Amino acid sequence: MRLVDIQDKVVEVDVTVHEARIEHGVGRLFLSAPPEIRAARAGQYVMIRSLRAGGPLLGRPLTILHSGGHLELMYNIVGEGTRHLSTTLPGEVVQLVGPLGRPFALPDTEVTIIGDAGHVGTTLSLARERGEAKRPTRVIFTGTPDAAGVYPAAIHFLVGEFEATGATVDLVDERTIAEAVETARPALIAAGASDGIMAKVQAVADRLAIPGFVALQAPMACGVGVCQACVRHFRDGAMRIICETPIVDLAAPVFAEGGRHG
Amino acid sequence: MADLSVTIGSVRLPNPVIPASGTFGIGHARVMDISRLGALVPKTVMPEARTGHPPPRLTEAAGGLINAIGIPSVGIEAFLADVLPAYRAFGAPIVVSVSADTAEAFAMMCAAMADTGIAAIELNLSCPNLEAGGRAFALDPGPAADVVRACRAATGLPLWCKLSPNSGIPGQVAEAIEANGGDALIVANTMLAIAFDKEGNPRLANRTGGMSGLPLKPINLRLTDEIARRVALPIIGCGGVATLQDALDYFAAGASAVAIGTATLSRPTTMVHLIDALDAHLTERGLAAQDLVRRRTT
Ligand SMILES: Cc1cc2nc3c(=O)[nH]c(=O)nc-3n(C[C@H](O)[C@H](O)[C@H](O)COP(=O)(O)OP(=O)(O)OC[C@H]3O[C@@H](n4cnc5c(N)ncnc54)[C@H](O)[C@@H]3O)c2cc1C
Ligand SMILES: Cc1cc2nc3c(=O)[nH]c(=O)nc-3n(C[C@H](O)[C@H](O)[C@H](O)COP(=O)(O)O)c2cc1C
Ligand code: FES
Repeated sequence: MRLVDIQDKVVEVDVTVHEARIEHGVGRLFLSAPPEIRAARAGQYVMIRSLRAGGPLLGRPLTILHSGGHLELMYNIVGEGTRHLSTTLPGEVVQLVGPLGRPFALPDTEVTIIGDAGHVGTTLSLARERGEAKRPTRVIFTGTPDAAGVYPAAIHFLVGEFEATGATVDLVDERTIAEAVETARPALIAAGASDGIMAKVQAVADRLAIPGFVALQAPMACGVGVCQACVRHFRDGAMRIICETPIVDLAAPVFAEGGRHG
Repeated sequence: MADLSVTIGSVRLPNPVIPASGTFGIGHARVMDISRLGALVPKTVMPEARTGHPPPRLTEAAGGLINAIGIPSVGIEAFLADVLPAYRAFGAPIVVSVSADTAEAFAMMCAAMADTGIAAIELNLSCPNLEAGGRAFALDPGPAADVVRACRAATGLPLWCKLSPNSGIPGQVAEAIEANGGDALIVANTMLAIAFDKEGNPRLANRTGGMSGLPLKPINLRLTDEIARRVALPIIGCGGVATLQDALDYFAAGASAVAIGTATLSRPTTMVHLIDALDAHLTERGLAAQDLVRRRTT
C-alpha cells in the first residue's frame, strides 16, 4: 500500500446535520466534520450527497466554511440537488467527500475579492480566513437591482456575511462591474463569479495588468481527477479538468459572455 | 476471512471486485486503500493524445448517469511513461484498457504493453470512437473478430474484451471473440441514451451519451445471462453494481467477477465496502468466492 501525504488525504464520511437554515432563499447547513475536513483552507470544497431516498446520485460541490467547531456550507438553491439539500433536517445524515481542491494561496497584502451570489461559498471562505488573520481585504460584491435600484434581500444578507468578516464591502450592479474594477484598481484580485461577470473582470485585469486568481466551477462527479467530467476551456486552447485546482490564474480561462458558471 | 480470489482465465484476482474503466483512477488512492481492489483498471487509453468531447460531458438521468466524456487520452506513449508507473506501487493486478479507430492501432498498443508487468489488456471494443461507418467494433461479429485477431497476434497477454449492450447480436459477437483468441469478456459497456433540459436542449454537448448505473443493471444482467450460455469465456459483469445483491445477481447470471463504475462516483468507497460485504457473506456460509462462479449451459 502506498501512503498518501496527509494533506492530500480525502475522507468519505457520513455526518450528522446539526442545523439547517434557509435565510432569504440562501441555504445553510452546519455539520459535524472529521479533522481532515476541518483543516481545510479557503477555497477547498466537499462533495455533499443526501442519503435520503430520492436524492441525486452524485454529490454537489460546496465550499468549506468554518463556523466554530462545525463545518458550515452555504448554498444557493438553483436546481434539483440543492433543492433536495434545502429540505435537509437536523439529525439527518449526509455523505461528505473532501477536502477537495487546492486553497487560495495569497499574500498578506491587500486583496480585492470579487464575487456574486453563485460563488458565495468560495469568496466568503476567503474573506473569513483573511478576516481571522487580520489581512486587508476589500470585497466587490455584485448583484442585479430591480428597476427601482433595490437589491434582493438575499444580496443584502450575503453582503452582511462579508461585512462580518471585517472586510470593506462595496455592493455593485453586476452590469457596471467593469467600471467598478477600473475605479477600484485592485493590486490583486481573487474572484469567483459567473462567466458573464468574469469575462468583464478579466478584460479589465488584462488591460490594466492586474494579477489575480479565479475560482472556477463546472459540473463534477468524482472531485479527484478521475472521471474527466469537470473540464473548462482555457485561453491556450486546452480543455482541462478543474476539480483538483479549481482556483487558477485569472488570465488563464475562457469565460463565455452570459455564461453562468465561472 | 473467506478466500475471495477468483480466476479469469490465466489471471488470478485477489477478489472479484474491480473498477470499470473511466470511473476509477490514481486519485482514488487519496480516499481509500486501492491495493485492496481485485484489480486496478485505469481509464481507456488511445494511441494518440486527444481531448475528448466538449462540456457538458456528464448528466444524471433516470437514476443513472449519461456520459459523453469522449475518451480524452494522453496517448499510449505518455501513458506508459507517466501514468502506468504510479499504479505499480499498489501491488494489485493491473488491467490496461485500450481503444483505437482501427484493428491495427489496437494491435500496436497491445504490442507496446509487452514487458510492462500488467496482468491483462482490456479491449474497449464498445466505445463510440469508431472506424468507418460510425459503428463500435463490438456491435458486429466481423469487426470485433478483426480487432481480437490482430491483438492476439501482437501479444501473449490475456485479452479481456468489452461488449456493448447496443449490439443486436451480442451472442454472435461473443462467439467471434472466443473463436479469435479473446480470453475473457466484460459484459458490458454503457447503453446509448439522451436527455434534454427544460428548454428542450440536449443536456450533453455531444447530444447523446452512454447510460450507466442502476437503469443499466437489468439490461447488462440479461446480457450476461445470454452470453454465459453461448461461450465458455469467463465473464466480468458490469452495469449498475452497487450492492452485494447486485454482485450476487451477476454471479447468478454467470459472471466470475464484477466491475463497478457509477456507484464509485456516487460513493467513492463502494468497491471496498462491497469486498467487505462479500467477505462477510461468504464467511457466514463457509464458501469461497470461486464457489459463486457457476455456469449454466441451458
Ligand atoms: C468547487 C465548487 C465549489 C462550489 N461551492 C459552492 C458554494 O459554496 N455555494 C454554492 O451555492 N454553490 C457552490 N458551487 C456551485 C454548486 O455546486 C452548484 O450550484 C450545484 O452543484 C447545483 O446543483 P443542483 O443540482 O441544484 O443544480 P442543477 O443545475 O440541477 O445541477 C445539474 C448538475 O450540474 C451541476 N452543476 C450545476 N451548476 C453547477 C455549478 N455552478 N458548479 C458546479 N456544478 C454545477 C450539478 O452539480 C449537477 O450535477 C460550487 C461549485 C464548485 C465547482
Ligand atoms: C464517466 C464515465 C466514463 C467512462 N469511461 C469509460 C472508458 O474510458 N472506457 C470504458 O471501457 N468504459 C467507460 N465507461 C463505462 C464504464 O466502464 C462501465 O462499463 C459502465 O459505466 C457501466 O457500469 P456502471 O453502471 O457500474 O457504471 C465510463 C463510464 C462513465 C460513467
Ligand atoms: S470531477 Fe471527476 S475529474 Fe473532475
